[in-house]
Amino acid sequence: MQLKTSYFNPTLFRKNLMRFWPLWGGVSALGALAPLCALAALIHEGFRSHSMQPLEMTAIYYEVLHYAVPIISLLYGVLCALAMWNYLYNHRSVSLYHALPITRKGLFITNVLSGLAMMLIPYAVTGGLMILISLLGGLFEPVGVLVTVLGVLGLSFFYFAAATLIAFVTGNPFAFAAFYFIFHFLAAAAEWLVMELMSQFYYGVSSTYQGVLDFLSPTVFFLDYKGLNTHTEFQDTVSPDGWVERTLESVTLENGWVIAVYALAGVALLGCAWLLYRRRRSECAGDVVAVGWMKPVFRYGVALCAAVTGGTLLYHLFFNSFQKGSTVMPLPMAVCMAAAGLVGYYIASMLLAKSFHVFRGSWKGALASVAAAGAVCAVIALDPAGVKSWKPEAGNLESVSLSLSSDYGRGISADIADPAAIQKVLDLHGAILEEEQQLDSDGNRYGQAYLGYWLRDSGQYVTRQYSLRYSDGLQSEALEQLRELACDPVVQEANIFPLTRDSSVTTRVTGGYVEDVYNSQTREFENLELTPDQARELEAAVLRDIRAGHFGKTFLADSYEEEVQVTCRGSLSFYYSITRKATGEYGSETYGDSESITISTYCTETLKALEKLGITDETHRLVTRMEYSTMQHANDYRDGGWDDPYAEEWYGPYDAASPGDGYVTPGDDCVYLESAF
Amino acid sequence: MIEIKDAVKRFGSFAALDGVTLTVPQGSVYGLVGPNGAGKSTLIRCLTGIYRADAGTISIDGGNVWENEGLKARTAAIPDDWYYFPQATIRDMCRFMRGFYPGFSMERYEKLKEVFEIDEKRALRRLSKGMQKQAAFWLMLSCMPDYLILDEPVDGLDPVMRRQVWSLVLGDVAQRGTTVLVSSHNLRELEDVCDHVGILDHGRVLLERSLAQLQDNMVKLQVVFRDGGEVPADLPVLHASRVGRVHTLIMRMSAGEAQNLLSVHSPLLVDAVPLTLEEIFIYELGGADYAVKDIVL
Repeated sequence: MQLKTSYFNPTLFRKNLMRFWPLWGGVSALGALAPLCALAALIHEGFRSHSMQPLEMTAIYYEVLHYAVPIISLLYGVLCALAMWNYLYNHRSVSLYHALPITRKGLFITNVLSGLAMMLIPYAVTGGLMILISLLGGLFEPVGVLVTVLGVLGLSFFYFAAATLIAFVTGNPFAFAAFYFIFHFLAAAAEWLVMELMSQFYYGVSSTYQGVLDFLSPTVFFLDYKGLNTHTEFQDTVSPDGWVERTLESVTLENGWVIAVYALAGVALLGCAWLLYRRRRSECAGDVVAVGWMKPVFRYGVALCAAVTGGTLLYHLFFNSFQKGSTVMPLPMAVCMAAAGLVGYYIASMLLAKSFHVFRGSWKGALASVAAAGAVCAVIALDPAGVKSWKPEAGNLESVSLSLSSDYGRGISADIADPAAIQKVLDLHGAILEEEQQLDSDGNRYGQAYLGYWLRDSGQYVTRQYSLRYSDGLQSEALEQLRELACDPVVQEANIFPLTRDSSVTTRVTGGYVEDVYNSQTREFENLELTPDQARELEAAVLRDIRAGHFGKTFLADSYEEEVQVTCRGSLSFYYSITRKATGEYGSETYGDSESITISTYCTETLKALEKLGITDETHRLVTRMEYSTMQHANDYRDGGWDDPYAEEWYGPYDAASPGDGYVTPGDDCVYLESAF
Repeated sequence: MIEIKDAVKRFGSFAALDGVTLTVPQGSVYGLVGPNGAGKSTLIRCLTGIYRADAGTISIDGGNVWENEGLKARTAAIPDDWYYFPQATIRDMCRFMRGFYPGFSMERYEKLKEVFEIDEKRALRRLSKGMQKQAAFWLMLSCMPDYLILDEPVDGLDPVMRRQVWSLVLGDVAQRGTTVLVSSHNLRELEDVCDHVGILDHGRVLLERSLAQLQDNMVKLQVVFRDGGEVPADLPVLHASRVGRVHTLIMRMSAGEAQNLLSVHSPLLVDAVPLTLEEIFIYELGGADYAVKDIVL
């Protein structure tokens, strides 16, 4: 005989708010500090005399919504949910609540509303004060306030709903807090773990976090650029005296709909929470996992996580020194993962049983954990998905980010979209995969090739990072490809002139200077300024050198000596006037920047241009780094500037008693630029 | 009327209730007795809607108790470990209860204030265990329940307060027809207040009768046989003891049947003595392998 049913109990609602007033009161007080600080600033500046615009307040609101509200809601949501559902975690309190003449539906609805009220009170206090102060300061902007209020409502609802769902998964407050944060960061952590594991097994696969599953870790997603974003538009006006005055034209919250989607997800989470509460057994108070079917998920989930993290740790403790190359040995890794998985399995079993006595009769589960850990290891090692051998199709590439480094040569970084250059990158990629054994060995030479692919179909950015460790004199197709790529004009132009290749700007050379030109008369190094015309001519000469493949020749130099013999100590620098074209977000603007270029004796066009322009002549010379080293040694330059660590090894011990030209005869051991041509 | 039919409640593989069937007649005071771990508290939790029985039916006035707001509003329960909010006073808990129990009577609450003589503005956690129990009675009796379910209710109360509390409860039974289910180990006390008794053991009801029937069903006789003889072997004796020539026999039958059986042996003296509830409890459970063991340490 059902006599009466009510879905909301005002007494319980009041009691909830009254019981936990220190929580929402304290957070409200903390939140109120922000508007009070703003008020103090306004009082200091004098109301109405400040220079702020209402839209700037909106921009601040959106920034708060973007960065602060997700973090505050994440932390405060767990506290509110814990306050509301804590009665489920104690046998005595759950007995009181469930014996009361109210249905679970009534308890659920009343507690959810109480929790949401607690979530929103601090925001209401802070926001209300902020609006009041905005009104006082003439900074009120209703659209921004409305969007912010809706955003706060959505985010608060989502976080409280998520916490409520987790509250019904467990029967223990500590487990609740742990599960809540695991829930919010599981996807991101899982992706990181998988990437980390793959990077250990697969040559070239980097553990770079991609954030593919960030949407399942909402806080990460909200804070990331993929989540919310504040878009501002400015209007530039030039005053009669030539000053550019920038006015904020509009502020919009980009991807605000994401909050609505998460709020809808919150509705689904609350629905799931209600289903769990309907079936919840009061006697599970105190249990780590309160839902029967989730217990094996927890047990084997913990075992798997322990296998991956603990297995990696054990491997690096015991087997790292036996490893050849950059990837792990599958069999020892499988042993470590199995051992760690076993430990994880028993830890989870102890938590579930709330007892240390879990060993008897558990061999089947333990065996399953060990087998699963071994199977995970085997599957990854066998690479059925072909992650290790993956190479994109040339036609599917939007562009490639390239970063090459070697032990002696100068590093190269370039973003390229040229199909021919991209094909060369792919050829290099293929060659590295072919020659993994030789290139990932214990050799004495070191290099690195970072290949970042922007894929056209999925829009994803996929990277491969190959550490090259090979032996001197290795005959390798990949190294040949690397050498060729280093001299490729497209790659070098992108490497040397990244500013001028930016399509969103127009650049103009306004000058420059040549650094460290040696004056043989004064025996000093000088920096010589370039006129705009000289700079333009030199820039053209550098481009000719690039196109002739003169840059990058020393990238895979066989020795340090080889590199320093041809690389100039001095460098060329160009000044640019850069005008950024107006976009929706930014107004057009002009600013200065510079590029610095290291040249070598291979850059014949540049060196000829320098001579032609009269910058270098009989007395003014560019010297190689080896020359400089020799001169430094001979001319007692040791106390100033660069101290070559190899100088003594190559030129013999320095004799302080006999400094000067007579000690080392220039030309005996060093090569001047003239003789190098 | 409270009716429990074939109720089963399992905790993992352990069956705390293993097919319990019992009936508490309307307006009666039903004593639920049983050894530790028999399932009394589990049964009470099922009856108050805290636990959901895995099988069987638990009903009050014909209605299923589970998630039945109306029935719960007519039922008040005092568990052994009554919960109150950590900062709450009796007055706070009174306000809380008033919000849930439509029949909560402030008039009665004020009247009971004179009975219990506890400062209602004092935090409950600062009160002694006995005073907390008094507070629980104060509040629950103010709910004016039709059904009162008590688990070890007077545990911790002093003798005067025990009598006071029972007087209030029995007053409700007499005046309002309240049905009371009380679980207790204090059989002496139950004997004074209960009119029905159910004995629970290992999750099952061993027997369930009115106190009068229960006492009729078992008899305690003081017998003196001729020539100081021993108890005849053919007698179905549950327990026998001897002081001098007087044998004290406990048998599971009515006094008349026992005297008829004994008359065959022409005893010099047969005298039927009333059994206490404690004796019934001990000898009933003795048959269920729960006897007092004579262990020499």
